[in-house]
Amino acid sequence: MTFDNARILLQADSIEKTFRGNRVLDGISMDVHAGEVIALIGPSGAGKSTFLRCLNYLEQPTGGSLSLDGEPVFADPLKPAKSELLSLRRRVGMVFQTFNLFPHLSVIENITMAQRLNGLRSRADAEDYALQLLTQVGVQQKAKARPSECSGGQQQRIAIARALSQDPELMLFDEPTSALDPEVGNDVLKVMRDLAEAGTTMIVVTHEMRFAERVADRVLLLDEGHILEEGSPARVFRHPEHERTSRFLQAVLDR
Amino acid sequence: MNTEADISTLFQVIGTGLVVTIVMTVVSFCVGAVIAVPVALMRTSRTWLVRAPATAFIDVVRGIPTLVWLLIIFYGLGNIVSLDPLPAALIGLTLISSAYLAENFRAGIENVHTGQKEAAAALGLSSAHQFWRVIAPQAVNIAMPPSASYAVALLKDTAIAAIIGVTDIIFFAQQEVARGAPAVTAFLIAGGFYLIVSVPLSYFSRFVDHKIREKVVVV
Amino acid sequence: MTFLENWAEWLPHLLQGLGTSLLLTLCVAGIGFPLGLALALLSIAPVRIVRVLSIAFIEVFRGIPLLVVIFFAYFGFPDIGLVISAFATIVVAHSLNLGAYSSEVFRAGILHVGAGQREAASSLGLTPWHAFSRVVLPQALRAVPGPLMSFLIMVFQSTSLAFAIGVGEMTSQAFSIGSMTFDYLSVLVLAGIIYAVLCIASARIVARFEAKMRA
Ligand SMILES: Nc1ncnc2c1ncn2[C@@H]1O[C@H](COP(=O)(O)OP(=O)(O)OP(=O)(O)O)[C@@H](O)[C@H]1O
Ligand SMILES: [Mg+2]
Repeated sequence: MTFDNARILLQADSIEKTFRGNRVLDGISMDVHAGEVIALIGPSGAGKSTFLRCLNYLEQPTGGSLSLDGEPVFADPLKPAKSELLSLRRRVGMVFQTFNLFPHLSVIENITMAQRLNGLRSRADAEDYALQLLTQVGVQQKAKARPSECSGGQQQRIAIARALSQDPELMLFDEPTSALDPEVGNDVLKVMRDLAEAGTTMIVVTHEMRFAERVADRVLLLDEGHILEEGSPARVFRHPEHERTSRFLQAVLDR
Repeated sequence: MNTEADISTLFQVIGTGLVVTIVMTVVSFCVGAVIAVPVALMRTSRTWLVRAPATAFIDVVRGIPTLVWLLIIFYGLGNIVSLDPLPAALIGLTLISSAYLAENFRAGIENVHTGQKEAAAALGLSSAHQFWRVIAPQAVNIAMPPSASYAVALLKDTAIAAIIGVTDIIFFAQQEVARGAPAVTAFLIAGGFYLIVSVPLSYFSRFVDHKIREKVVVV
Repeated sequence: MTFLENWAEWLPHLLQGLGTSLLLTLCVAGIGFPLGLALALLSIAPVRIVRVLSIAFIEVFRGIPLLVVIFFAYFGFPDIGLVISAFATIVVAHSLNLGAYSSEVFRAGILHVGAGQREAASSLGLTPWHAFSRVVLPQALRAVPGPLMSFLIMVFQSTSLAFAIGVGEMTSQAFSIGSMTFDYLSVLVLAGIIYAVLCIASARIVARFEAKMRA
């Protein structure tokens, strides 16, 4: 499937990030089409997490700009207004490597809280929707439990449901399975594959090459803060342009 | 001299101070906790101008010994507003407990895992909601065990109020000794009364510590 | 009379008192810390009764106010035929208190050195005593300097309780100047400033030291 004619949902234009003189992102540009699934791969320290976090401004880029649906997200990307930040984050969901569920709330409260505080749904509607999402990710039986009473795989699926509860237009995943055992990780990957098939726009930082190959529409290989290789999974994995890409892929496969 | 009747009278007299000791502990802990909240919020502010006065308050209050505070308030301010011993002690102990508890609350706020704030921010919660709905409840959990054990320390600190004449446990023990009661017995009884309160309190604080450990993720 | 007008006149007296406060602190540290280590060792001793007694001792001294211990020693010791100076009374009372508190730090330090280290040592054929004194204890003591320095600041502050039995440390000096001039406020505030400056400065040093230890 190609997305050349699809609507461009997110446009990142020369995103730069410098940590105390250490240039981590070297001006990354990319278009994300509605419904597209992008796998972001690359060696450790390449800047994958940093780039992902720049897309919802958990990390404020030191240069470059973002547009959603053709509209710039910020009037001044270096001085984000509060309202602009909130609106960006409500349109973009994020799933973390370490789940980051709220331990003081029950599973269902984890999912309803932001819906209610952000004025998205009434309490009753938020609860209905939360149960529906929990069913979708297969953890409905844990609705009343505490996060600490759930397995890692369940927690990550709950975290996905929590992010979905904001009706995001784009979902960001930062190595959602690397804190999990492989079998448990597969449950999470299954949920993500279902989302992808349902047409969710997703950017996934991952070391799961099989997942990237099967599910992603496009693979981006990040190295030392810039995009080294980009294309369909088949092209990047079978016919990489760069020697560096082959070496990286070889190293991952050898693991 | 050391007859049973004498000892039971000693018990009764010294025991009358127990209420004052408990009142001082409870009042200065509770009022101190209320004052500690805004101080801790200021202390964790990102704005230097807000943070600096809170830091100074916490450091200066904790830097001066309890006894010196009580002497300053009772004798020092005595020329300006004359206070009875008990209100003077309550003011001093509240001041001190607010500074210690503010420091506990600050540590609680700062020790909530950074991922929690990020998750809240990523959901598009406003900064007020991020703090009050996600950070604060967990900070309270983290601050609870050290605050419970601070209550024990505060209980023992209230004894110092006897020096400015507050009629607590140790005041009566001292008074009975001055009237000729045997010092060893009198102060053993006084110590016993403190233990009656402090031992359960410190067991409670350990219990809280255990309970809380199951509930929070600490950095 | 303006506030703090006579500070230059008072300062020498206060500093003299400060000298006594610091001397008390030093003596207390010299007795209290070894006592704390001893109590820590006893509280994990193989003999049950020794463990129980030492833990009871620790709990009692952690549970009663220092002032009670001071009064007990000051008024009670003579009754049982033990006559010591007020200075010595303060040192004894504080040392018992510090011993009880610091024992917890020593104990945590010792228990923190895992069973693995002990097993490694005994697998080398070391006697239990050598395993303990050459392997466990040195590692345990590496973790304690930070908390012990914080205790020292606490001890320094609580030497002000010597005021209650008339040892001429800084608080007593300040109070007696106050009772002569009737300007309690100024001189007590001056003493308070000296306490605060010393405590805040040493707390900063301790914090920096602990950060360096962790790095
Ligand atoms: N908050 C920060 N402060 C300073 N440097 C940082 C910060 N966050 C990331 N970096 C640096 O930026 C670089 C890129 O980090 P990033 O976490 O984006 O890598 P990554 O590609 O996600 O790696 P991994 O696969 O290990 O997760 C690293 O060199 C890292 O040390
Ligand atoms: Mg990463």
